[in-house]
Amino acid sequence: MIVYLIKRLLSIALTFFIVSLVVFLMMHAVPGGPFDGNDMPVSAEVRAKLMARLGLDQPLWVQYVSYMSGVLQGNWGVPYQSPGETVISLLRQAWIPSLILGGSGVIIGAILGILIGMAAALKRNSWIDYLASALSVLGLTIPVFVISMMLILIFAVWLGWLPASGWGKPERWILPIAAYAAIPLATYARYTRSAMLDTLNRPFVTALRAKGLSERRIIFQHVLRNSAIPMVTVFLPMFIGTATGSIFVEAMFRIPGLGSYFVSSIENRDYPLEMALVLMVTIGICFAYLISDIAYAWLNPRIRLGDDT
Amino acid sequence: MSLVEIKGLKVSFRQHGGEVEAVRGVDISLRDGESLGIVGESGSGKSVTCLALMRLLANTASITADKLELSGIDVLKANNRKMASIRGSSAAMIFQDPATAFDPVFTIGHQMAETIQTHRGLSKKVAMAEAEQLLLKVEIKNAKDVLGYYPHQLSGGMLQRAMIAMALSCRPKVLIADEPTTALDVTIQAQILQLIKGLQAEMGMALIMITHDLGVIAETVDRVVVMYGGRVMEEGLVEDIFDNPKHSYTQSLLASLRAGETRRIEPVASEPVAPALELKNLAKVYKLKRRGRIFSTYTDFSAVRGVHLVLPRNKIVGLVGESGSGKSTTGMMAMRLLEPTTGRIVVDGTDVSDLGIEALKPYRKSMQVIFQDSYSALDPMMTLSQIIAEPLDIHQMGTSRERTEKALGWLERVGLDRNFGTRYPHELSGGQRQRVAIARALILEPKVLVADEPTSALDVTVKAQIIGLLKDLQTQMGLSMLFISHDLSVVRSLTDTVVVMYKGRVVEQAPTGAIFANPRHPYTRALLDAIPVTNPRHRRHRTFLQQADIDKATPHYVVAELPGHAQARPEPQLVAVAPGHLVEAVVTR
Repeated sequence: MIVYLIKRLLSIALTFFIVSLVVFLMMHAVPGGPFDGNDMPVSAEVRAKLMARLGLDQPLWVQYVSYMSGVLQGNWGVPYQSPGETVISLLRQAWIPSLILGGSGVIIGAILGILIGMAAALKRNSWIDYLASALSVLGLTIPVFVISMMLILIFAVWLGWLPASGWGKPERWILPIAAYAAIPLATYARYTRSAMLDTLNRPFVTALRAKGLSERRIIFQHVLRNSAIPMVTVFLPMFIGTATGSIFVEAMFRIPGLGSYFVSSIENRDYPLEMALVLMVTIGICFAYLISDIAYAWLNPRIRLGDDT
Repeated sequence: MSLVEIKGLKVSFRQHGGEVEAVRGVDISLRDGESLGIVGESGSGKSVTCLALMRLLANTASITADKLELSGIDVLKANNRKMASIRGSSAAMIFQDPATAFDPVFTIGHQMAETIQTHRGLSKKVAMAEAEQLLLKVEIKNAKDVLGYYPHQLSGGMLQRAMIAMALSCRPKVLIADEPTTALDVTIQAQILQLIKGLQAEMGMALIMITHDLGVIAETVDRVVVMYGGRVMEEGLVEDIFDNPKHSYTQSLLASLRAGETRRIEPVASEPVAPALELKNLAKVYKLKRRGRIFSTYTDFSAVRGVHLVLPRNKIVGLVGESGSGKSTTGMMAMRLLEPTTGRIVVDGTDVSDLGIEALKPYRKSMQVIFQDSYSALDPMMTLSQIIAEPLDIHQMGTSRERTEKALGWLERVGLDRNFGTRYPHELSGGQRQRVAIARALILEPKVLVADEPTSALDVTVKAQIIGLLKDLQTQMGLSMLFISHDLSVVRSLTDTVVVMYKGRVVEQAPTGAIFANPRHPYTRALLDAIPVTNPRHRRHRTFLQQADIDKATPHYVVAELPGHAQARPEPQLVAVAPGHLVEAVVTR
């Protein structure tokens, strides 16, 4: 187990450096620089001074090494957009709306998805099953910004039930959460349905019925537990994945979260912020998979007790 | 009042093409404490009948019956709650494959306790204690540990015992056993059958034994129902059925069961020529990874330990042993389908053990193999004529037209119609597929044929046909065959020599007659003792050997007793006790 963990951590470290290098090079390969924008024109002289102060006149590899050594010491730099703050303090604020909305979206989506998937599997080839299939196909194929627009159109414009955008009061949260929930709901409905059907066809379910257990106990304890194993493993990666989903959802609903910084940091060539966002998502995804794999092994006695047999 | 009363039961399944009738009017009744066997081949409707009685069939089944009662309850009318309450308590079931009949993510103890709690409303603690008692009752010695085990941590035999214990937990009035020993080894089968019989008598419950094996019936029940094609063919006391079968189907079932008892005529000893196949000191070691807390350690697992085996020309050698004894591994190594760790393989006087893929190719023609599972051994995307002709393609023999013609000829030779050539494997029955596999193996006219349990997945009557076909072809073509099997009755009727393997070693080897008449090694004796009787009057109580008993009972000889060149050695060795009869024994001075 410890060897396994060390191996995984080393591979995460490797992934981290490869991603950082690739993103760093791509970022600098994009034409233009942080002070080329038209809204606040600066003279060539001032720009050269600023570039020198930020170390941007150094060769690329020197910049990379100095940036990464800073990161390894926990210093993620200062965003060019708002020099009064650090990248960390900026993201610490921006993180909150994204976490609240994305997190509740994934959790609600997963719960609903599981329920819909179960209903579909238990009433196979009924209208519930067909509806669930249609929902999950729609959820996985329609881009999230289209879903967001539809939600705004229906609930804010036509029905006028909910505010279209903004941040603050809880009723403003409902539509973005719904938008965030679409993908987890669709994914979980599909996963749950196929995992449940798979389990229901296994001989031990007949054996459980033959023992006289109630159908409810068979479904909720035995079938669900057996089907849950693959379902648990997709949860965390999906959770981290909302960080990139936030680019669209938060833009549509005008929420001051992480999503806007993804876009603005690229537009403004705000290198420290851009790097920080990409690297944090990278680390998040890597650890999400690691934890999922450990959870999978722990839930499955065949793997957990592998050294006993 | 009868415990089980089935009258005019009909079951059909809705499928894509329409309705499929599985049971077409079956009458069965069972009194308290009675034991009934339902025998028939797969598709005869025997399992479906019992699943209908428990109302455990899928939604696609439609059931009609004049009467379908289980301990006085009308199964067709009872509501779900009522049905759940009689399942497990009025009638309990055990299944064919215990490995898939337990939920893999809960412990044995949890699954036993939950059954007890459901029906008897006891606390978890009391239920666990009771589960432990039950495990002891089915002769599981370390019952307390087993409660905490997950299903994958137990062997098939142990799991089936636990399944039985679980079935008994609510004192059912009838135990329905659906092929309870088909997935188990012969020796384990005999133990499980004896256990079921003993518990039935002790607890005074009724028994329904569903099986395709008349030997199992002869061992366990009082009354027999013979089913075929969804109907009852014959019914009667077990002795009457065996002594005086009325229906032709029953007669053919019995004939195939007893085929094993008639002895082959021993041919005269042949002149010394190079044997068709010779294995010298063949061994296979697998590295097993054990995940430790910090480091993984590797342990060696010897699947096969230094096997010597000679397959004379024109002879059939039977290789027997339980699963895990290394018999299939040996067969696959002999065909160079699996690389041996050490040892030599000599085919027809040529050492093929070190030949590379290209150099081996011409020799492949003379060594062919038939596998146990005919379905997975045939490419589902190819027609039968393509499948049978493929070896000719590989060895570039003849024109395309000639190959197809030859393949069609072989279809007829193995007893199928020529126009089957355009069909696909899934359109055939198991027996027909095995015929195709035989044709494919023999079209190259090999010298050596390895048949790895070719009949163990087949029904009894089909099995007899396939054995007959192999025997005929062997004589016609002068084949030398290594016949791997755990089915001793087949081995007895087919082979000239029997080699018994146990834990990767050859423990006894003798002419077939000698091994059945005079087995020397304790494991061989245990194996022979476990064969189900072919006559219900010959039932007997058996004692079973543990590994320690077998080690203890290994024959001991002093050098002077043995002919030839035996030398005293501390570890067991193969010694000749009669001409051609070798047994593993400890030799001392």
